[in-house]
Amino acid sequence: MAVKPVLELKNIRKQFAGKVVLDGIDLEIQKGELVSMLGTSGSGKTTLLNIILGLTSIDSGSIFFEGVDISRTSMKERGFNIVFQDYALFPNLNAYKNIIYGLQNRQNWSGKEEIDELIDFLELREHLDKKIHQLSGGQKQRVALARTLVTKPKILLLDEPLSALDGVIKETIKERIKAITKRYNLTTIIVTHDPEEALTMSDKVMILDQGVVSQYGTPEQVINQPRNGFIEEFILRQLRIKRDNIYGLFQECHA
Amino acid sequence: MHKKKPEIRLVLLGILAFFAVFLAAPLGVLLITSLKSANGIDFANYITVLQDKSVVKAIGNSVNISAVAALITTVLAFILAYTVNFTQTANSLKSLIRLGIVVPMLLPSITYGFAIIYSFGKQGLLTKLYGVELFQIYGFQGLLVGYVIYTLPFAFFLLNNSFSYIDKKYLIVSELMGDGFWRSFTNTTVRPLIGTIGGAFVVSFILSFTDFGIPASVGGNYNMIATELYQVMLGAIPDFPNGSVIAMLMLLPAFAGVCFLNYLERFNFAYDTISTTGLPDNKLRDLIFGGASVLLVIAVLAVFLVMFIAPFVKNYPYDMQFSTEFVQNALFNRAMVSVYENSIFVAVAAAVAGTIIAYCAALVNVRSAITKRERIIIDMTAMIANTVPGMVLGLAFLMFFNDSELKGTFLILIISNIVHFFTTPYLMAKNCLSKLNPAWETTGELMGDTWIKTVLRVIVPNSLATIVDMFGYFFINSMVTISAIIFLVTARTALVTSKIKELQHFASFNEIFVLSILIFVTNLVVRLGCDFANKQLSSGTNR
Amino acid sequence: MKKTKHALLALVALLTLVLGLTGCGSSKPASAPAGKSAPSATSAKKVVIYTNADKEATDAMQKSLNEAGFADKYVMQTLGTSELGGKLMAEGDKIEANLVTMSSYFLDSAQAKHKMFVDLNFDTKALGKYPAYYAPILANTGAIFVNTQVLKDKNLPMPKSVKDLTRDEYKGLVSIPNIMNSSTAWLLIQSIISQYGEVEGKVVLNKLIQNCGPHIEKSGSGPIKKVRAGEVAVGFGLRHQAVADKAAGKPINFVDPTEGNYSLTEGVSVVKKADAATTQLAMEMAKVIIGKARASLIKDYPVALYQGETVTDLNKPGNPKLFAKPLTVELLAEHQKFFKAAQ
Repeated sequence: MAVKPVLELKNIRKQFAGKVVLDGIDLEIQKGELVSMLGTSGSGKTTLLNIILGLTSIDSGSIFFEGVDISRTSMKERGFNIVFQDYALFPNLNAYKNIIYGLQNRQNWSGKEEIDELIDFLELREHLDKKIHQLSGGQKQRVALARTLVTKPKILLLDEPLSALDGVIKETIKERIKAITKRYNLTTIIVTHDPEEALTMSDKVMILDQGVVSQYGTPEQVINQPRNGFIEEFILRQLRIKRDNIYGLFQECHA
Repeated sequence: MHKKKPEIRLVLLGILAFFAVFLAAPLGVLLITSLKSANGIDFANYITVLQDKSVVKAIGNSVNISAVAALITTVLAFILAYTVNFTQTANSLKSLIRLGIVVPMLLPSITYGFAIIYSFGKQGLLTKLYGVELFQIYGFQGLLVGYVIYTLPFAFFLLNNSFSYIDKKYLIVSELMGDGFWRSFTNTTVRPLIGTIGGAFVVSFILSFTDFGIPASVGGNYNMIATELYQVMLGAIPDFPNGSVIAMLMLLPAFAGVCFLNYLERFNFAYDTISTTGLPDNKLRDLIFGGASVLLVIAVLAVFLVMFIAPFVKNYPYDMQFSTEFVQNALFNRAMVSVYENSIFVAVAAAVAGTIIAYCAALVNVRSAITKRERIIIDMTAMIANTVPGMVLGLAFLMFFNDSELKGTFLILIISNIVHFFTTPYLMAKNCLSKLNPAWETTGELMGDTWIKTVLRVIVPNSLATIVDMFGYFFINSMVTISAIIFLVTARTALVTSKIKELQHFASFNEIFVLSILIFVTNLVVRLGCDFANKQLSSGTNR
Repeated sequence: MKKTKHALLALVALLTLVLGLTGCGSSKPASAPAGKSAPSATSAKKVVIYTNADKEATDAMQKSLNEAGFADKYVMQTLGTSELGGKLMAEGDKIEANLVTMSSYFLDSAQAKHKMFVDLNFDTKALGKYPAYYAPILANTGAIFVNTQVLKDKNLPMPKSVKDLTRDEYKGLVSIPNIMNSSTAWLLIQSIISQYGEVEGKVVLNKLIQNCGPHIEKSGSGPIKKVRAGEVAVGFGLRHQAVADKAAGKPINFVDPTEGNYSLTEGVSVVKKADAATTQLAMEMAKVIIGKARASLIKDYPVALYQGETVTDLNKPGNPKLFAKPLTVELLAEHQKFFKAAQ
């Protein structure tokens, strides 16, 4: 018997101005899992993210968190949190003040030691006094992560966490995100348009196509048992070309 | 979009209520008064007014001079903007042009007329320098000079802004394709600017058409619609029906002008990128445009020179010995000082309250989930506020609040200024707020902020530079306006500009100039203060 | 909880700022700028003085009031005679002013229409007989004046009469006040009508207006300013101003026209108001103006009005005349019509 899911979406439907954006979305996520929602622009993945966050209301269906229906619960009361693609850091405050921003509203979110530990874990100690515009992309993301983690979110949402970063540091950030979810046993949902990203860092991948779930499973399941032509055509083929290019590159170097 | 926030609704309602009471209702009363006659609602008042030869003549004069002035202004402003943007004139000269052109904006337009009289009159400073009278100052020519000086800065900033959006790469391309100066000029400069050039003309026209200060000072017996309206209302017994008709007649061209401006916007080019490449060399071009522009700015400044000389000599122009007698008399005169205090009070209050209202309106419009219809209502309100000439607004206030407690208070002057100057600061705030990261409110809310708290902790600190500029705009314009307040001031609430109008009665030029210098210095200090504050702000963030 | 309270306070603060202004009619009138004490209910408010007087007269009145310790207790607003007259006739005692100084005929007409002035409660010892609701503050006499420098430069003869000013050589070099706005102009019109009658007078006035061109001034002191500035060579206005200029060594001279020097009296009245304290203060100011300002007023407006006053011979007009009919607002309106018709 499966463990009871921490987050459960049932038959979610949403339309904007008469156009159906999401239809019949079902999803179960277990505690501590890292799930990616993969799709092209217009697939509805950002809308789904906003629905889980509580920013966007649903037309029909329901959302359960730990078995409680939270479909009509406000964003604030859900207690989830998000790191936006462009981080939305406050430029009038320095890195440290951004990190502790939420504490001025609720001191009991995190204690002094917890924050110190978080800062050290994310290697932000030396950047605390810097203004936001003095930080590199990776540093900004770590500050944004720290700011969010201080609020102890019940679910962490990451909107395209790697897209604004330089290619060279992408892999290290991936590892760090994985490390965070493991360390804090944090249920994490990532939205991305990059198949490689989704399949290499998550426990499970949900592929969205034009508002419906194309496939939901582990990366192995997606690679080995693609459910339809869309996945075969657009996702696996891309990855194979990439793999062949990289193999080719390394063989040439060895030759 | 989950749940409409009650505080946003409250702010929205507050703003809409404000403009319902202080814009829509007074204008409605004005319209109804103009249509109400002995036989009910008809055009009888309009017919009466339009049968009055002097009114028709005044309208004709106003249209005529405003059009000529707008044409001249547009050409001159274009030359200035071209020099600053598209020539390799020395940077120091470019700065001189940019700074010099601001000077008239810091002075009330009523001062221009007196400066013109003392510059170009029979005993004028410039007349003395040239040895001959350059032109007949009272009437058409004097008004024309006044209007051109008055509208030149507005037209220049409009064009200057558009110039900076032209991709200079195209100048290089045009040069490489072998275009001559004229072909290159028309294709790469005039064509992309045609919308703004039209806009500069329309803006100059409306400004001249609705101005009261210049015809009040240098109009002579040349009737203009603004002075006609003033006489009908204050000449003897206030004539509300006819006054409202003339006000409506003043409103119509202004309204048509604003509509036309919106139409012109579609002619504006949008380049994808703006690259800042160098300009092709052309010494002749630089010499001609640079020389013309510098001369122009010096000419404008020269007109105001007399203002800074006349009050400091014993008896201008006969006895040119230095004397501070007039200045001392004016500055140590309780009545003068108290009028100056009134002006400062009104300007500061209008600037503080106006900035808050305009900022809130922009905030609600661009950073909250209000309906599209509500968004359009706010934008329309801003456009209407922009359309209504100051005198028309003032008259509408006079009619609507005639029997209320507001009559004769400072509050009505402050509100009149807020409504009259609302649009520009509102657009400044809108522009700035729409550029800020849209996820801040959500982030703040997730961090436990209320909406208002995020606004105060994050949005406001990140738009401080704009807020400072909005404050400066409201302050300076409230200090220099006469048209928006002339119908609303009383003895107890007299302001510097209305005092200048009163002093004109005695032709007390020295006092007029001393008061003008006071306004000028005050505005200069505020303007420099704003610039300094913004410099501090931006150096604080190292940008 | 504390935090929510803070947030609420901030919200309330912001909204009161926004909504405070929309509180419209029902809200209290804006208080004066900081530093100026707001009047309490019982004490007198600042007295508003409306006057049509010229600078010399307002200066004299202000000086006497300031010396009497009223410096911060009044505001003085100058208006054109027609403007102030219009207000008096239209608004009656609803006028903003507590104290008015104005041409006597307007005071008479306004009192007849609105009963808007209270009787003065002090003895003035005036030479002539005046109604109880006003006391004369000054009298004005009309004359022609010239800029001798300009006359010399342009080689123009010295005019002797108003009619002389209609000659072609003065074209564009004459300035007169406009009777639509200025009572000084009436002195000119009275002299023309008395001397030439309405028919010939109209021709004279028409030519005069043409010669003035753009120099028809809204203010009675406009012409002397233009003559002083050399904008024009000749003007019509108040005799004493030219006398003073000449004495001060300016290139100005005056001419008593053969048509005669006519005069107008200006008086001071206290407006009937519910606010007794302020009205009482206004009454005290009226008393100061009569008692203290006259000493300097008579220097600028050298016509003896009170017992014990004398003037120099230079200031006695050479050709004083009185208009045949009593001066009233209705007569003024007639003469304004006459002026308009001559344009």
